[in-house]
This record gives sequence, C-alpha cells and structure tokens, in this order.
Amino acid sequence: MLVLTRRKNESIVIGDGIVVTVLEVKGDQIRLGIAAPRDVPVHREELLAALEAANRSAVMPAGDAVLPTPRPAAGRTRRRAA
Amino acid sequence: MSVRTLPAPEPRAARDVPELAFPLGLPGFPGPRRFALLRWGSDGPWSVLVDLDDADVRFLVVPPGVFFPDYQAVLDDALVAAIGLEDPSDCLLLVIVSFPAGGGPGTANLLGPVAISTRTLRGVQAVLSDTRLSTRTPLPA
Repeated sequence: MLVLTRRKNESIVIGDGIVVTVLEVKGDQIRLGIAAPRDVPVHREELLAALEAANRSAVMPAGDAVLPTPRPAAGRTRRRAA
Repeated sequence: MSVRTLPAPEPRAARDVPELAFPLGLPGFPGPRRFALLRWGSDGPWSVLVDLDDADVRFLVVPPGVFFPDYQAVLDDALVAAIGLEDPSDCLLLVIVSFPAGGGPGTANLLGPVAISTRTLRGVQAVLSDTRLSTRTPLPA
C-alpha cells in the first residue's frame, strides 16, 4: 500500500484522471471528494465487502428448491407445508 | 405465503435465452462474466441468474417489487455507464434472494440490486448508498 500524508484541500491523483481530495477534516472524520471518469465505480469499502460476503453466501446449492409463492397483500395468509 | 418445491431449471434452457454480459462480474465473483437469466417455474416471479461458464455460480433472483412494492433504487452514473442504460424503461432490476440451508424465511439483498439493460444486455450489481438498506432483508410473510 502506498502511504501518503495530505492536508485539507490537498489531492492525490490515481491512474488516468482519478483525483481524491481531502475536503474537510473534523475530529476523526475526513470528508473526501472523488473525481473519477463516469464509468469508474467508487464505493465505501465496507459496503463492497458486505456485498461480496452476501453474494458468496447467496450462491444457490444445486438441485431443487422450496420457494415461496407471494400472495397479494390482502388479509392474512397461512403457511402451508411444501 | 404458500411454498412449493420447484425442480432446478434445465441447464439446456440457457442456450435459448440471451447472454447477459457482466463486464465487472459481481462483487465476490470478479468479471467479466456471462450470465443467463432462466425462469424458475412456469408461473411465479422467480428466476435464476446462471454463470454460463461456471454452473456452480447461480443466484436466485426476483424483481424487488414483488416483495417490496415501495423499493426504489437510485442508480448512479457509473452504473448507468457500465450497462449503457439510456432509457430507464430499459432497466430490469432484480434482487438476489437466499434461503438459509436449515430452512426458514428467505432474505433479499436490497443493498445490491442487479441492474440489467434489456437493450444492451449488459448487467452489473449496484452498491446503493442508502445506509438503511440491508443485504439480508427478510421477505415479508
């Protein structure tokens, strides 16, 4: 990992046209501005990590599945055994 | 809601359905990947998103409006560009649903809906910025 120290209003340029700027430093929170080409996704790391974990656990096992049939939301529904 | 056992969709069916290009794959399954969307059951809202090059990579998906009628996904510019989405009506939105192995209610990933352009046949999984959304939202009974 490349480690740089920046002050408020200073920036880092990554690759071809990605610019990360420190906008504000308040206590232990740092507000960052990211300028990137439109097609470059930028996400909070923990959200991406949560999505990776969710996808890995969501892979369907092989074979048949018991799936619910949604009913229109009118009145109570009863659960029936498969 | 009622439940029933559905047999797994025929892999042969993947030949007759359009190939969806996911240039970035999915988080946890880096791309590029080719997927097919197969209906699961002749009626009902379920489909399976199957990796055409890896049969083990398959996800149960459903349009979010089926279980979450108030759900709205705000798609950012990067996502729109990634799938070449020009008209919102070209966008097919699906959420991945999982059922725990031991049985019990399923959960939907509302934080990361899958967006597919029905015109370009490209897809991507969004990472929404609404912090109230969860990757494991229980399906309403």
